[in-house]
Amino acid sequence: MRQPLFILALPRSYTSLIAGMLGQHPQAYGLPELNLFTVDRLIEMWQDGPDKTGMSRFQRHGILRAVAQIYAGEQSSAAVVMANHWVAARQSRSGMQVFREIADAVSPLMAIDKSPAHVVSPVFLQRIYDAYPDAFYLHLTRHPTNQGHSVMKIQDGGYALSVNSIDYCEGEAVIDPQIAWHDINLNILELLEKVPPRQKMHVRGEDVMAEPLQCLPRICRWLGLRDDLEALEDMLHPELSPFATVGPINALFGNDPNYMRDPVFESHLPKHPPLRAPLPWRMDGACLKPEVQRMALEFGYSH
Amino acid sequence: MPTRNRLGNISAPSDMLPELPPHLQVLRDDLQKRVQASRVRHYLDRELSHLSGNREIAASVRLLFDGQGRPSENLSLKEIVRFRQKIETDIQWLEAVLTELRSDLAVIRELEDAALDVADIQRTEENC
Repeated sequence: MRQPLFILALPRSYTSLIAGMLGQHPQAYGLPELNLFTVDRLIEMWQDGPDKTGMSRFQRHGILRAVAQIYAGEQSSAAVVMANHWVAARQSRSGMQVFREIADAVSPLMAIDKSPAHVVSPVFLQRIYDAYPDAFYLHLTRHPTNQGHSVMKIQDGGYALSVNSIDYCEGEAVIDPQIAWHDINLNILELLEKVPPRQKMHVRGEDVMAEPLQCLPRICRWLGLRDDLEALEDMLHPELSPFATVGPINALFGNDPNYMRDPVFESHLPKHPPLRAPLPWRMDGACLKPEVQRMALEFGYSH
Repeated sequence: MPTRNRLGNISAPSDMLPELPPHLQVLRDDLQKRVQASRVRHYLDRELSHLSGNREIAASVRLLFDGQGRPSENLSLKEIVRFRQKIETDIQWLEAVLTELRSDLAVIRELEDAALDVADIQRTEENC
């Protein structure tokens, strides 16, 4: 059986688009955000504690839409009702067992998972690696200023706040997504230290946006997938995935809602702001912290 | 790769965050209040724009439409109505099941109490 591909990245890093593109490869199956490695037992995804935000309900949509599509072949409310029964029957299983069942169901296609919730914690990442020591791991990055700016434009930076990405400075607490950018990428780097070189690859999202026909074949060859023109043409149409649009009324999301509004890929050259420039979300003129700049330089972004 | 330190507490679940010094905790609480207030303000702005007769109802659910304003093919009005009816039926069904389960539980508790009473009497008789 083909080993799955795990795309490890922060949200708002072209993750949905690139996962959607790779998922359209004829030998691959792009899954919605399953979040299965964030829980010990599947039932935990249905247990909203007092601490959970409203987003947790939406985090279940991915598994429901995946099951609906894989087993019923459609995205309808009836198929999602069936999916609810499917997960209820597996509520005491581990997230890893359920993921394995889904990956087996789409075999011989390569299962492609990108769940930004996984990278928040080293515990979740370790669960993935324990379950799949032979899998492929794609570390996807975006320029810290652009990624942070994008995060701050959605719900006043709600994502950054939800992961405690707060900078305490000069008598004020400020939401600052660069802390999440640094620490989450550090989580990923620490995991990848354990992964053999053959199984890991770092890709800058900007490079895929600018030169898809150079980057995608390289990724395909690394994964052992075809890189012919037909396969590349398929990958340039992520909008054709059943998960690229809003789902049925009882499982609307399972992916970034902004991506689902416009999943069509258009090649473009993203701007790279200087790493030492003031940050657009900081009213005090603060810049990227030295640790963040150093890490960004390692990823190939420049001053 | 050299060991690097983290800048924050990204990976700590919110109920397991390390305790902040009081002055930082005050700053954090204040930040959360400000963000919440900002969200409420944006929500009210949107609601008021509806009231002003602009008929921008779609704006509040715009995430359900694509970039050209078209609804997803998975989300027809017919499907939404059918699902609403199903939810109403499910609620009636589950309420009936809940009533039945509560009734069964009450009966079982009665039986348990009766069995314990009998066991108590037997134990007392054996001790005598």
